[in-house]
Amino acid sequence: MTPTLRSHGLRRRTLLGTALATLPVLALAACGEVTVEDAASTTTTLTLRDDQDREVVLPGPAQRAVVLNSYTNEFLRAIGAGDRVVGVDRASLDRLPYLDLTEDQVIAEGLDQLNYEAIAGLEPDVVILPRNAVWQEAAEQLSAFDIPVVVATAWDTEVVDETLTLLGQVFGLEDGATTVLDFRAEIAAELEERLADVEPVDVYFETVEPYLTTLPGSGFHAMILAAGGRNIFDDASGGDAQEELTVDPAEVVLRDPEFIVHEFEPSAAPVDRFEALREEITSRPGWSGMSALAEGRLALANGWATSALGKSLGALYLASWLHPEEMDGVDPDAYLTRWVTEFQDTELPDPTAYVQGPTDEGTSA
Amino acid sequence: MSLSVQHLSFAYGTRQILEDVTFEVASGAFCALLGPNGSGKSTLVKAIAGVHRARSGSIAVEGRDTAALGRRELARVVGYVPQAGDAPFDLTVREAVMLGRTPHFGFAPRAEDHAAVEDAIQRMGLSEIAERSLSELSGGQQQRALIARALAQNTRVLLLDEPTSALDLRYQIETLQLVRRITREEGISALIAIHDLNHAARYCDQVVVLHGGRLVADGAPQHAYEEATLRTVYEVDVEVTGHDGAVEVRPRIDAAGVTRTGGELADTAEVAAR
Amino acid sequence: MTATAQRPATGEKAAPAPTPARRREARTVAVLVGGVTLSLLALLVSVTVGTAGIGIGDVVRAVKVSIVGGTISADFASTYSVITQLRLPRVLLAFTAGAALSVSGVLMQGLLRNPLVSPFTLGVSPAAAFGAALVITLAGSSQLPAWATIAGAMVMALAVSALVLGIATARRMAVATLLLLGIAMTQIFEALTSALQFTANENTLQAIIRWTFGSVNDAVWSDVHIVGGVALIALPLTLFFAKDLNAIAFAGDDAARSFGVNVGPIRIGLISLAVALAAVVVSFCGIIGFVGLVGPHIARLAIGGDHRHLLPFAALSGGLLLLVADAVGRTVIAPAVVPVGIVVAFIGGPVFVYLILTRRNTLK
Repeated sequence: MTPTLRSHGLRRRTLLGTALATLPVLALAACGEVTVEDAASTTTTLTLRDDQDREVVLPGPAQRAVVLNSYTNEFLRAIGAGDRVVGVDRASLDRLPYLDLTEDQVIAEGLDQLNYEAIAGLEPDVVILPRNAVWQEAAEQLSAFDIPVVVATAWDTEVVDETLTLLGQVFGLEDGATTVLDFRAEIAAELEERLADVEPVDVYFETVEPYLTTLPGSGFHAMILAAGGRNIFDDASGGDAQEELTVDPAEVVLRDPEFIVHEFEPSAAPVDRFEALREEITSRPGWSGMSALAEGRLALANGWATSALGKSLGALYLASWLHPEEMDGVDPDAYLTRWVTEFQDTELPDPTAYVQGPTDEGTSA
Repeated sequence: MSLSVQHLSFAYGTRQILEDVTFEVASGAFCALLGPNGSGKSTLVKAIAGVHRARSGSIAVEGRDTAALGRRELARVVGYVPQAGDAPFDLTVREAVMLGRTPHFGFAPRAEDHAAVEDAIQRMGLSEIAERSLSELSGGQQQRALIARALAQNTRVLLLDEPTSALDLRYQIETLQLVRRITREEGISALIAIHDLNHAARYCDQVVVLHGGRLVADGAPQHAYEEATLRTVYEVDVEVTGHDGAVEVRPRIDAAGVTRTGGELADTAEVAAR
Repeated sequence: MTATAQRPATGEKAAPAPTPARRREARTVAVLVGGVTLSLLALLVSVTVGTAGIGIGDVVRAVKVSIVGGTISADFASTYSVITQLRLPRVLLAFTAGAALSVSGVLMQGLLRNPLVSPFTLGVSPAAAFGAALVITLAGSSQLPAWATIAGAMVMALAVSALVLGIATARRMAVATLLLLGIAMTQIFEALTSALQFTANENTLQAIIRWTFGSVNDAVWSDVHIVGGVALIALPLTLFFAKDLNAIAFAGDDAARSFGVNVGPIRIGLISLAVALAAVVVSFCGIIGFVGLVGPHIARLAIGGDHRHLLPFAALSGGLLLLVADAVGRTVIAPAVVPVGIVVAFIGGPVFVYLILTRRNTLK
C-alpha cells in the first residue's frame, strides 16, 4: 500500500520541525560548566569612576588600550600614554596620522559597529569610549573576555579636566595628566587676567558647513566667551544634539558681527583651504556689505589646532584677534607649538598652515 | 429540489440589494439567472455560495438548510465559479484545480483529492495543458479550469457568476454546453448568472429574471420570456418569437427604423396592448 | 471542439495518486531537505568567518565543551569566548531574523495578493523603529531595561498595522491603495524619527540612529532566544493555515469563502502574526529591508508558490540571505564591520528593481 501523501506532509513537517528546533536547543543546552585553567590571579586592583559614573575595576594601570575618538587619543598622547594605544577608530587614524598605527589596528569605522573579535585579539587591558559610542553594548560583549570598558568623553569641553584626570588614573600617569592640566590652567589664567574688564566683541562663529553656527551649551560658545567675545546667536535656540544650528544668511548680516571665524574639520595633516574659503565667504550673496568682511576681520582655522585641549588654544587665538591690545605679549603660535611638540610629540612645520587670522591676509575692501 | 431559495433578502448597509427572492431549481436542471447590471445577480449567486450572509430568508440544498451548515460543510455542497480574475501569482492548471479540494482535506491533499483533480481535468479536456500556467491560457481555457476547480470540489450545486461575459462566442457556447452536459451527467443543479438572453434560452432548462432585487420571472424560457416583462426589466423594446421550439428575443425596430429604449417605451406598451 | 471525457463506470474506485504528483511531491521534499542541510552547513561555516582566525575544529570543540562542561586552556579561552559569546549568537540571530522577516513577507504577500509587499512597504518596520526611538528619547539618559525598547517597537508596529489594515478593510481598499498607504506611513514615521533625532542629546541620538540600519553586531544569547522563540511558535502556526492562505492568495477572497475558508478572522490572525514577526526583528536588530521581499521570491523560484512548502523554504532562504549578508559585512572591509542592513540593501535593492521590471515573467 503506497504511503498516502498526507503522511508525506506530516513527515516533512516533523523533519523541518526537528531541524529548526535543534538550533535553540543548542543554545539552551550550553549549560556545561566551563573553567579556564591557569587563570591569572591579580593582586593589585585599580578602582575608578568614569564619565557615566560607573565604577570600573582595572587590574592595574593599563599598558595596552583600545581607544575610540580622536580627542581622547590626543589627550592620551598628551599625558604620555600614546605608546600604549593598540587599537583605534577610523577617524582617529585619519585625523592623527602621527599616531603611528597601522590599518589592521582600526577596529571600528565609527563609534558603533565595533569589531569585538578584533578588539579581543589585540588583548587590551582596557577599552576607552566616549559616551556617544555604543559603550553599553561594548561593556556587555567585552565582558566575555574580561576586558573592562571605561567611558571618557574627551570632546566634551565642559568636563575636560575630569576627563584628563580620569585618563591619568587609568594609565597610572597622574603626573602626565597634571602637566596637561597645568598647561590648560596657564592658558585659562592668562585669558582671565588680561580680559578681565574688556567689552565683549560680537563674533559670528561658523563650523565646517556654511551658516552652521553654535549656540549656548556648545564648547565653541564657551570658547567665544572665554576669549572676551559675544556670540551673536546667543539668544537662538533649537539647535541639534551638538547645539549647532544652521541659520539664515540674512540673519548674520542683520546682526552685524564685528568678527567672523570659520573652523573646518580637524586634520593633523595641513589642509590648504584658506584661499578658497576666504574667497567663498567674502563672495557669499548679500554678505559683501558686512563691515567685518570689508575690513578683513575674518579668521580661518583647522580644528586640529583651535579645538585642541578642550578648545583652549582656540580661545587663545580668538582672544588675540578680538582684543589685540590686551593680549599683546601673548603669542598663540607659541602655545600651539608647545601643544604640538611637547604634548602631541610631533612636528609643527608652520602655524600658518593651520590658523590664519585677520592680520595674515588682508582682503581688498 | 436540489436548490431552494425562499424569501431571500439582502442589504448592503442601507441599500437593499435583494428583496424576497423565491425560486427553486430541480436536480440536474440548468437554470439561468438574468437581469441587467445592478439587478443583484452577483449578490444572489454569492449569497447562495455562502460568500455573503443573507439578512432574511433561507436557502436549502437537497432539503438541507444551508444556514445550519458550517463553512466547510457548505463548501462541500455548493460550488462557486467566479469570473476569471487576475492572478497575481503564477499557478498551474493542476494547482488551481486542487484549490477546489480545499474543503475536503486537512493539511495536505490525499490520494482521493489528487484523483478528484485528475478526474476533473480529464472531463474538462485540460489534460494536455494541466502543467501550463493559468496566465498563459486563453480566456476560454481559464474559464474551463475554474469550472474544473468547481467540479473537483464535488458539490451538488454549481453556481457560475457571469463566466461568459468576457469570452469569445466560441468559448461562450462551449462553456454553456459544458455546464449543461455536467448537469445532465451528474444530476447537479447549476445556476448561471448571464447576460445573453438567447444563449440562456438555448442552453438552459429554466430562467429566472431579477429586476431591482426582485424576481420578476421564473420558468422555462418559452414561458418565462414575456415581452412586457422584458421590456420593463431591460428598458428596450423587444419582441419574443418562438422558432423551432426555441425562444428568441430580438430588439424590435419600429416604422421609423428605430428601437425605442428608456423613456420612449411608454408609447410602445400602449401599442402592444391594443 | 472541446470534449468532456466520459466518466468511468461508477463501479470503479477512484484511481490512486498518479505518479507525476507523487514524483513532484518527492522532489519538493528533496528540495526542502536540501535547504535544511545547506542552512546547517552555512551556519557552521559562518561561525568560522571573521577576523580572529578560527577553524571548524575550534568550533566543534567549543560547542562540545559548552554543552558537556570541562576545562579549557588559557589561550583557548579567547577563542572560546569569541565562538560562544560573539559568533554563535550573531550567526543564529542573523539566521532567525532573516527567517522571521521572510515568513512575514510570505504572509503579507499572500494575504494582500501582491508579491511586492513586505513588512517594510506596509510601514511596519519604520513604525517599529519609531516606537523604539520614542522610548529611547523619553527615557533620556536613564538606563533602560532591555524589554522597554522592544515593547515600544512592538506596540507601534501593531498599532500602525491595525490602522493601515483597519482603514483598508473598512473602505474595501484595493491593494494598490493599500501599498500607497503603507508608503505614506513609511514616510511619516521616518520623518517622526528624524524629528526625534533632531531634538535628542548625544546619547539618545546615537542610539536612535543605530536603529536606522539593521545590525547584529550587538547580538547576545537572550536576543536569539526571544527572536528564535517567536519564530518557532509562528512558523508551525502559519503552516496550519497554509491551505487557507493558498485559497486566499490564489483564488481571492470570494472564492476562498466559497471553499469554506473563514477569510476575515484568518486574515486578521495571519497579519498579526506577520506583524509580530517583523516587529520582534526590528526591535532587536533595527530596520532590515529587502529580506521580507527577496527571501520569499527566491523561495518561490526554488519550490513554487504552494504555501505548504513556501513557508518553510522562505524561512530557510531568508535566514540564509541574512546569514550570508552578515558574513560578507564582517569580511569585506575587515576589521571594520558593515552592518547587515546595509549589505542586504546592496544585494536586495537591485533584485527588487529587477523583480518590478520583469514581474510578469518571473513568478514561476
